[in-house]
Parts: sequence; structure tokens; C-alpha cells
Amino acid sequence: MATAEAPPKIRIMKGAASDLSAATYQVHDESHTMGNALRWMLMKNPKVEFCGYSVPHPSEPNIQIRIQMYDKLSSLQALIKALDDLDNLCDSINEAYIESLQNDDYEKWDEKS
Amino acid sequence: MDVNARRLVGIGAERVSHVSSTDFPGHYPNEDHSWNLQLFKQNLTVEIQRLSQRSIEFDIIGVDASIANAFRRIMIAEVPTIAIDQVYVFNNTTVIHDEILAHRLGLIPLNVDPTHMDMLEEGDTPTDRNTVEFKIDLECSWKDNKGKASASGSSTPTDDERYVNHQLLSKHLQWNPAGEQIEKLKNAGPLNGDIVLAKLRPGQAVEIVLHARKGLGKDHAKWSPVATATYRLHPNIVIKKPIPFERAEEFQKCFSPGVVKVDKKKRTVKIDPKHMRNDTVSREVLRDPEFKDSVELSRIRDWFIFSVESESAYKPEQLLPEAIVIMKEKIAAMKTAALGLLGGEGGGGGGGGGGLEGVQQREGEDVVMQEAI
Repeated sequence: MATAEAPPKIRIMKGAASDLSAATYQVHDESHTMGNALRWMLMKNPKVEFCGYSVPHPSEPNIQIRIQMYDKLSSLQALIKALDDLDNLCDSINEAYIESLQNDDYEKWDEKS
Repeated sequence: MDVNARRLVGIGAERVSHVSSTDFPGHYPNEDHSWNLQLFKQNLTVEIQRLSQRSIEFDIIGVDASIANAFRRIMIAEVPTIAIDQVYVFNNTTVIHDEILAHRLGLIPLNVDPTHMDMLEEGDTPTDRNTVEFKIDLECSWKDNKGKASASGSSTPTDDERYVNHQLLSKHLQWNPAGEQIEKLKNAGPLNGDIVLAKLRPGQAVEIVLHARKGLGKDHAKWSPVATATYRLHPNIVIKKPIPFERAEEFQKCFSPGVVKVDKKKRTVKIDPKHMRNDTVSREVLRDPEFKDSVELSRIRDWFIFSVESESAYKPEQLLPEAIVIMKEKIAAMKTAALGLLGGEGGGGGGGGGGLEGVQQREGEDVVMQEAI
């Protein structure tokens, strides 16, 4: 056997619809961290009929995300949209946090080690 | 405080209810609930509550558990730090075995800023960009008078009075700066100098060279930047029926201190909304037959009270922004791959290495190499 090449970050698993209206994506080197956040953001999309994720085995660094779409739309497009939306969400939380930090309206205390 | 019932997780005497969030399209007829950034920003509140030099408490209100949990997980497992990874034991005659000592050394929190360092990938040579070298050279010996002329006048002199170097402490790490490290890292060393690593007696000695590297908490907990990073949901307590004033004190004792305010003049019993957050929601109040129908206990599903203790070079208030940066990197990596699939071909990239030879190895000696795992 040839030495294993680095697996692709995302792989479309077999059994996907040819128009990708229903597909399972295997994401390498991700965990519940991205899996659950992405699942939530995909479920916020009204064109998504079903979305779920799993970590098939705890000692393998993979997750699988199943997406099924209404109206024969592309699940890959929905995935990309969800990633964009998640990126915006991160920015807004960061903005709000930095603002709160700069407002300086919190209790400061001295913690002995 | 009046909270929309949809935001509440009910807490009964022996069960919790309404655990899952329902803000999805299609869940409620004729309601939208699809992703809306403007609406999300409107409903989002981030508020820092307390800050010390080692820990922070802040609230994130208006996000789903999956998002709050992502940040918590990243703070624990994916924000990089520097920790001792390789231990070269030239001499160790203490009672602590090499591998145990190596493990203890690995767990010492270091003050090295991870932004100045690179990961050491497989096949890389150690350079001043990816390795910080420390040395320990310690030998225990008797004091001249062997503690007999004890200053304290006690018949049993203390270890300090009897011996020189009877403890190996984290402050005994001597930094050996290489290349540009002296300008960039300023003064590398342990965050706490008083960690006891081994105890020694006269004649015992340790001589060790240590290599500290950048790593992630998911590989080993020693690389985790936090001692704890947790969140809890904000409690919500509602008094539905007036509490008989004669039993006000008993009622008060069912909650954490400060949560219930008893006004002796007006003879009223109230919940203090400011101190409600401190309640542990122990459900003690539900055990009392008279009280159990007078109160409603719940938690607010989208109100996360984060508590983060930094145990690394990061200041506690830096940890959430670091976690967000890493989350965004993960999103970007996935997006690149997804766009690659869209074009029909996925693409990946590699990285080159190389650089200065900064850290030297000693040869010819009988060295026991330990991985500080």
C-alpha cells in the first residue's frame, strides 16, 4: 500500500444525489466544535429539509454532516452559505465583546495565586 | 425580570423540561426564524462582569448553545500555548523517576507568548522560532553547620537550615535564549516559580535540558491555556404566590445568599434580580410542600455566563477573541475546501519550513530522552 496521502478536508460520501440535493459530507480534522455549530446554522436555512451531524468514531478525527434540501437545491451551496453566516456571527460576537471590554464597566478584583 | 417563556428551560423537582431550542424555520407556523444577521446583532448582548489578572466572567446573551459550546471547546483545546515537550536527562539521582519528572516539567505553565512561536511540524529541525530551551542544574548539599546551630533554637532544624537546594522548584529553570528570542520573548520562564518538582537530599542532583514547543490542548492538556473554561445558564426564579412572611427566613435559606430579599418593614419577600445570577438552582425550595407551588424555577436557554481562568501567557480577557480567531480560521479552511468541491476539484496546500539553527544538542554523553507526556 502506498503511503497515505493527507485526506481531503471535505469529501462527499457515496450515495449523494447527483444534483447534490441530498448529500453527506465527511470533514477531516473537525469535531463537535464545528459539527454542532454548522448543523445549527444549516437548520436556520428554510431551504434545508434535514441536517444532522455525527462523529462516527471518537478516535478518528472526522465528522459527517448530512444535508437534505427542498426544491432540489444544492446542499453544497447551503453549506457555503452556512459557513459565511457563521463567519459573520463570529465577527458580531467579537465586536460586541471588544465593545464591552472598552466600555470598562465591570468589576475589577485582585486574585491571589 | 420578565422573560419570554420560549427562552426558558423549566426546572422541576425531578426533571427538566423544554431543553431544546425551537428557533428554527418551520417550527412555529407563520413565523420566520431563518438566519438574519441584523436581528441576531439586535438580540446579542455581550457583557463582561468581573475581571481579575487570572480570570474573567462574562455573559453572552442571545446565542445558541452550539455556538457558546464551540467557543468553550476552542478555548480548552485549540488555542495554542507553549509547554515543555522534550526532556533530555543527563543526570537524575533524585527519588523521582525520569518519566515522572518529565511529566511534571511538561505541566509547568510558561510565560512565552505563542504568537512569537511556530509549531514544530514533523521533520522540522529545531530553530529559535519553534523551540525554547531551558536548563536545570541543581545539586543538593549539606549546609556548613548541618543545621546544628539552628537559628530558630529548635532541637529539630528545618530542611532550609540543614540543606542547600533541597527542593527542585520551577524557578530553577534557566532559560537559554537562542537567535532572536532574547528580543522577542524578553524573559521566558515559568508563570509561577514556586512549583515543587522534586525533593532532594545531600548528594542527589539533577541535570536536565528541556525543549518547550507550541502545541494544542487537544494533543495534551499541558498545552491548554485555561484551567477552567465553563458556562452555565442564567437562573430565573419567579414567585407566583405571596410567601407567608412568618416563613420568609426559611424561604430565603432555600436559595443562595442574596437571592431573596426580605423587607421587614413592608413585610414582603422578593427575588433580587441583580443577585439572581448567583443562585445555584438547588431545587431545595421545591422540597417544601408549602413553597413548591409558590415558585417557578427555570434557566434562560440563550443566556450563557462564562467563567474562564487563564493559566498561560494569555491574559484572561484575550482568550475569547483568540477562540473567535481560531473559529474563523476553521470556517475559512472549510470554505476553501467547499469552494474547491464546487469547482469540481478540491485543493490543498503544504507549507515549507527551514530557518536558523538555534538549539544545539550535546553528543557523546549518555542521555536519556524523555517526552514530557
